[in-house]
Amino acid sequence: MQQLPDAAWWARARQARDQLAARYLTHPDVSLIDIGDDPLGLSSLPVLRIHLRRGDGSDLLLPTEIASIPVRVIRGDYRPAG
Amino acid sequence: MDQDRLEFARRQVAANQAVGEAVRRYLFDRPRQINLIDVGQSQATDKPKLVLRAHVEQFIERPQLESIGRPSVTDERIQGYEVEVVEGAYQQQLWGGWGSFSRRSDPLVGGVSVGAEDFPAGTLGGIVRDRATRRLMLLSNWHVLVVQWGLRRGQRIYQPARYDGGTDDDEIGTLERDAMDSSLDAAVALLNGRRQVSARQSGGRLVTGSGRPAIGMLVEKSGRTTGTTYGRITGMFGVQRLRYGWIERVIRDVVTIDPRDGAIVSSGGDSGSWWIDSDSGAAVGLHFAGSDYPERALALDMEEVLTALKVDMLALL
Repeated sequence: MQQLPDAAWWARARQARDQLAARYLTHPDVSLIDIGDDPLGLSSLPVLRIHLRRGDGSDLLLPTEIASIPVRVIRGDYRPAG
Repeated sequence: MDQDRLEFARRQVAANQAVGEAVRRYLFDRPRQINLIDVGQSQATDKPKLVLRAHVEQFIERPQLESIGRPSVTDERIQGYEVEVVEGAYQQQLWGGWGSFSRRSDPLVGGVSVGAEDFPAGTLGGIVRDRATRRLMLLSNWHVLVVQWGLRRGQRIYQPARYDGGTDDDEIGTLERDAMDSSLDAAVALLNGRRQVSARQSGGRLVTGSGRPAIGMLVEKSGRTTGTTYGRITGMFGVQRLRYGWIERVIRDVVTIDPRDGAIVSSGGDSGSWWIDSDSGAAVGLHFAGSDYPERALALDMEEVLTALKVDMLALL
């Protein structure tokens, strides 16, 4: 069951997302970085998610967490839908 | 025959009689454009309640009906049954052609085909107002209304899109401005007043205003290609790199939406659709991208879009 984080948690999560984006968003395999449901279902709070176009992210040397927020890899290759 | 079955048979006979009366009154009254009358569950409540349903391809607003001397069918009761109007366009399914969402729409509603000259079709998300001038505009994506780097204000916009059969007579407005400089794939076009407007979506849903998305929120959208689909917000505050032509841009305030039940949530041509909170009716996201494997939709936080474009939602009509 997912808990509802407070405003302080969201502020911390967005800072952590910015850190991830600054470091990984330019990588050709990374399509999106967001904050959302844990794809592994292990965390009761939302997690940081790196959406990958391809691969499993093993060459990215991703941190396991930032600011105590878990980092997860999720598959996603997006294109404009128009 | 037990008591329950007797009661069921009695209700069935009564419903059939009510349908017959409604057919005599309405089905052949052509200005009403009703294509089917049946008995079904009321859409106004989640509790079991049977009503008579008048199916129309497109809602006709009350003032328009009254101007031709027809009261709304919803004002009447027939043999004890309330009457509701539902949207439905039916045709023989001989081949997989375009759905009703690619047709001409007057009044303009959200969820129908729109496009710029000589470019593929997207979706008209809905109607908004310029905060400064109060003039009416339509809101969709940058890549639906602007399409190419270098194209600018004044470009003609059609409903339906040229690709869906739109003609010169279907020009509904001109490109006004976009939010790509704010890292949002969004744009507005100034309407030319040739058509009436409505705060409804093509599936019939009334948009009650705008709101913020939230993880776990159940949402729905009406789009030009896949019609009305249903999802659940699973992510927020996304930042993304996405290629538009030869230029890659960073897009911010991305909302991630997964299917509720494993069904499709979006496809090509749905860009510009508004994702709407299923509970409140508030528009919370502007659809702009998606993936098929896994099936997932991406939208932009609607409040950020409205702020960047300096527009407000249309007051309810």
